[in-house]
Amino acid sequence: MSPDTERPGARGPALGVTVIGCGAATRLYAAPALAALEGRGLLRVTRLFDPAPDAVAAVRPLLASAMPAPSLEAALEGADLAVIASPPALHASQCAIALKSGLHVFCEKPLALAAADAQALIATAEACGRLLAVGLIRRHLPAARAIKALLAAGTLGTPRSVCWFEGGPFDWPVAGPGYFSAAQSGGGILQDIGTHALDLLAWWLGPPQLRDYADDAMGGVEANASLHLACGAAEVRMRLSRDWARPNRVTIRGARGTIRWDANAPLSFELGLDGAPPGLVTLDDGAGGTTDFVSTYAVQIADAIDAIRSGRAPAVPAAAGRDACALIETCYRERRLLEMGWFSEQERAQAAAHAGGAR
Amino acid sequence: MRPVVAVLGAGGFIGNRLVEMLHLGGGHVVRPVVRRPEALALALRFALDGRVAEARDEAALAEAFAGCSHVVHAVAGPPEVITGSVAPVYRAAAAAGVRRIVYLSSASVHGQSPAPGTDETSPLSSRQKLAYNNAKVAAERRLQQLRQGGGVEVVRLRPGIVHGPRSYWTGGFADELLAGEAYLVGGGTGICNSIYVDNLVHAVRLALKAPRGDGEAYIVGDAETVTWAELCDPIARALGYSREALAVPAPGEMRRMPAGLDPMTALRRAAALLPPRPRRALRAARAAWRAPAAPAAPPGTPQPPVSQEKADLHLCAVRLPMDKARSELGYAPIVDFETACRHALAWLAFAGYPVGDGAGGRDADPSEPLQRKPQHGG
Repeated sequence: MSPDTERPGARGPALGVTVIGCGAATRLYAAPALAALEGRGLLRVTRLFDPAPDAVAAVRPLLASAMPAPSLEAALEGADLAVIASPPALHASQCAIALKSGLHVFCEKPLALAAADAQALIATAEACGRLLAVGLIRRHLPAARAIKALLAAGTLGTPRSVCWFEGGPFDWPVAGPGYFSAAQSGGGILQDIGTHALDLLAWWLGPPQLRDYADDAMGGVEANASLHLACGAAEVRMRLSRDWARPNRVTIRGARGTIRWDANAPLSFELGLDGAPPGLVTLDDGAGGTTDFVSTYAVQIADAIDAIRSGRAPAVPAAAGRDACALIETCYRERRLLEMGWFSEQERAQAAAHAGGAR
Repeated sequence: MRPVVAVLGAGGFIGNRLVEMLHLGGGHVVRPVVRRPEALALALRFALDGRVAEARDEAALAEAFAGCSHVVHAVAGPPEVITGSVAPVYRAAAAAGVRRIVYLSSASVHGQSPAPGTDETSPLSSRQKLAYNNAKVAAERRLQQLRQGGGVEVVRLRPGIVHGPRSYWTGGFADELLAGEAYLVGGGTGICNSIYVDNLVHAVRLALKAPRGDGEAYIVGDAETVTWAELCDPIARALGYSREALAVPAPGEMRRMPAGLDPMTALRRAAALLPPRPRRALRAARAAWRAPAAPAAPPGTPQPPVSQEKADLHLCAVRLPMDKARSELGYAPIVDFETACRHALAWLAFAGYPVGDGAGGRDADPSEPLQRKPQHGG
């Protein structure tokens, strides 16, 4: 048995894949990952669709067999699996069209901007007998899986607190100013990194309950967000930023020990037990080959393909994407304006007025 | 009708505060202009018409300036951008019918440690040690030439050490402290020609509308004469460091750390291979990694490398005057130094520095220094 046949999705003929949306996520992660899977004979990318010709042109060199499609409908013709990586506001409608056209769907996060839309997609997938998978990529990182296993085994005892800081000056190569709009992206940092962070938190520690949410949107979308949550007995403080760099680190403290993880480090974290200082735990990448985001992206697509072929559920169920949507909806509904102590009194009053719906 | 002001360089820390204060002040319609769309992340917390134009791309700038009555040129960057952006910005402003450009120059045109008696009439040298200074001098001269042949008014402001939220002198100093790389040459007794960022924005507001000022340059600063130690002490104390924790290289002491001896060299090399977002996070992690184990550096602790620029700044003996700005622009600082320091600490807490609780400090009183060693991460 070759190594490839041991990996998920390695059996059967190559699936025809169409890519919907050719922005930065596709160019930097999805396309190289799909190309690697093409090389393994798992799939063949047949079509690329994006309303911006330049975006398609930037991706084509990475996927030699793929042809540009003039429309979404044309892009779906003849394909088995649609990879949806368009702006978040389009996810729900494009996923629904693809599912109803008989395709399986892998949708980048967020699954939708509203939990009701995400639930409707899940129902549509079930009605159509098609797979709906969501790109919550961090669940595939070996370090994240190891932390999950340690927590599930009660290694730390009862988790008491979680401190989570993630972000820094925003430098994701977005296509244009429209990215920073609720209409296109559904929000700011919370909708972006927050989706990943909240999903991982829920996966590790159970459904979070929102205690408090604040951000700095003042008529636009937030660059900073602060969340206070509870996961069982654990108090969770989460700070997300597109503003200023601090160590991107997650610290989970339990009755018996501490886990510290540099967010997104694929193969390492720190573990300290029974009062001992945390020591570095380094994992090997096992058979999955998850050493960076491109290879991890490939793992999640391969998992979706294996789920399609075997009829099993994907490693990350669509319901996880729905639950993240629901929590983010709650955050935005309950939002208050972050305290910005360097603003003058007049600025604070104006900021509150611009923040509008914030409590 | 409110003037429409394009803030070129809105993604920088001065540009960002300009956007905040002009927009929240209500007297202007603000149009943030940045080089890359992702640099609009802070500006578009507001419902604003953000534009993308590289500062040397005249056509893109003209499109971005369309409908604007004023431009604030707040672009930071390497010398070639400083000098190379002046003419395209001026011509684009002219094409767009802009009335006045306020150009953010720098007190560095007078050098990091200017001679006694220096003021706006002092001759500028383009043969200084630092390329940045020479670029600013060249940019000012080019602007004056363009003004003589063009119809767009130009006011030049020369701020000194601009401190406050998101500035190098506040956040960068905090990072250096946590990384064990902070120092004050000569103990920080030299004069810091400081200006809190809000005071600079106030000067810009005055320069936008002042009847006088066209063709003129103005030194602007804080009301108080402060030393470098006075600028840095509040931050050090808030992060739990004593003054003794800072390296104090003797005047004239210049050392360079061989790259091979730097324990973080491997991390730096790794960072260069990463995409931008993880790279910044790694940089911050490096700062935390290098944090000292105790607030005060023990005797014999290796001292960080000292830059010539900082050595000159820290040894400055001259307070630059701002009489001209007072008399011609009506400039008077709106934030006193003590308040500025308190606001800087509030921002540090907001940004997640360990001046309060580890998840952002919003439960802490940022004006109260913490008597504990720094805690990092989360």
